[in-house]
Amino acid sequence: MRSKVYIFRFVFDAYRIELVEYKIQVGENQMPDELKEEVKKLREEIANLKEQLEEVTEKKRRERHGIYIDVGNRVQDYIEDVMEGVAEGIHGELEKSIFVGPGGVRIIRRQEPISIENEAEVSFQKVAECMSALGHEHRLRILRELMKGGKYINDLEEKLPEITASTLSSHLKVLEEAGLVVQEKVRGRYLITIPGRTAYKMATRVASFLERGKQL
Amino acid sequence: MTWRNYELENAVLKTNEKVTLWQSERGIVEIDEDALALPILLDGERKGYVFHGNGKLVLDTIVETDKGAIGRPVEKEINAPFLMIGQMKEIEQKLVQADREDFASKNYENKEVFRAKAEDLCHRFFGKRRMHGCNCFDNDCGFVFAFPNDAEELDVLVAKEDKIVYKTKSTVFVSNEDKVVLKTPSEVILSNDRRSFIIKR
Repeated sequence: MRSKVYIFRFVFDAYRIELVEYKIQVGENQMPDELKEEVKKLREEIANLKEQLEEVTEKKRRERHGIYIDVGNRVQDYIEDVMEGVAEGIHGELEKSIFVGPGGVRIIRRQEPISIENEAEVSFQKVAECMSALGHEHRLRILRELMKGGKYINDLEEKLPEITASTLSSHLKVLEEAGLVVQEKVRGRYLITIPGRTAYKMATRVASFLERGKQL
Repeated sequence: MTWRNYELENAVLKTNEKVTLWQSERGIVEIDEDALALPILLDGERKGYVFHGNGKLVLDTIVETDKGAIGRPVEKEINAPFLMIGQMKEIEQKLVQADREDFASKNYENKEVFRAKAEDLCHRFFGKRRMHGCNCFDNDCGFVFAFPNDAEELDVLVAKEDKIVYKTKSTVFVSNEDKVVLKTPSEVILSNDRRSFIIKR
């Protein structure tokens, strides 16, 4: 392919030089008719060669950027349209998405600014339930244990000996009703939910912020 | 994969004790004593049943991610006819002939009314009296359950040991060891060993 480009360039340049030299020698207006015809043909030939050269150069350029398959304009346009649609779809979904995982790429969901109107839509009863569920030291300890992974009730009893078995069950019930914890019905393990994890982090951050405020 | 014809047996049976039809770490399907059972034949061989009795379906359709758990367990009382495809020799030993009282206790006038109900369920599940690709049930390779739901559609559970596919009108849950996919009306969660990808709708 490269040699083809060189040949085109060589021929193109050769014709151009020949024509320029002739113009210098005799002047274009003084050319005999048959020479004028020859020059016209040469010009057409040059234009044709130039077109071919552009085509080859374009192909070369595309090859450098990836595989070039000539599938005709209509098919190519169609594929481009489809790919554009797919790309827009993925982009749209990813914009709304989050990616979580240890060491993985994280795409943080773009948060809508919270307006006072939106805040008013939140049920204060639900907020109070959530805060109430968090409002016990034992329940915070349970959440902290569950942050490390799902646990059976026996594991929790072992990890939290200061809480009696019956109290532990009632605390887990409160956390479950608030949606901060979920229990597997077959295996029986308790798992912290995404809201549970968020609520625990929020509560501990607020407490730590207040603690720092006191020290200042 | 082959196309196979199904038909229902004439004899209607009933369970003489509680039967666990399927159980794994993810779920349980149980049917109580005195549940009607109509065997389904696939190419002449008994390969499943239409049951009608009290039972329960429990499925832990929960996805664990490093950001917390998503989803809630499914816990349903079963009291409508449902279908099961899959070989289970233990069931045979817990089935006896059903009599008129057993049909009456389930509000069926007679055996034929129950058969018609079972036929309707099978027709909805199998389609045009044929089933595609059920060779896998020849070698005790898994179970398919179809439970009618409130929307007059079928909730389908396909289970092989701990591998599960559960599809309802609004939810799809697929679990294969640590790999889990959960589709809810609001999001799609893909999880592989607690690493997760969440797509909000």
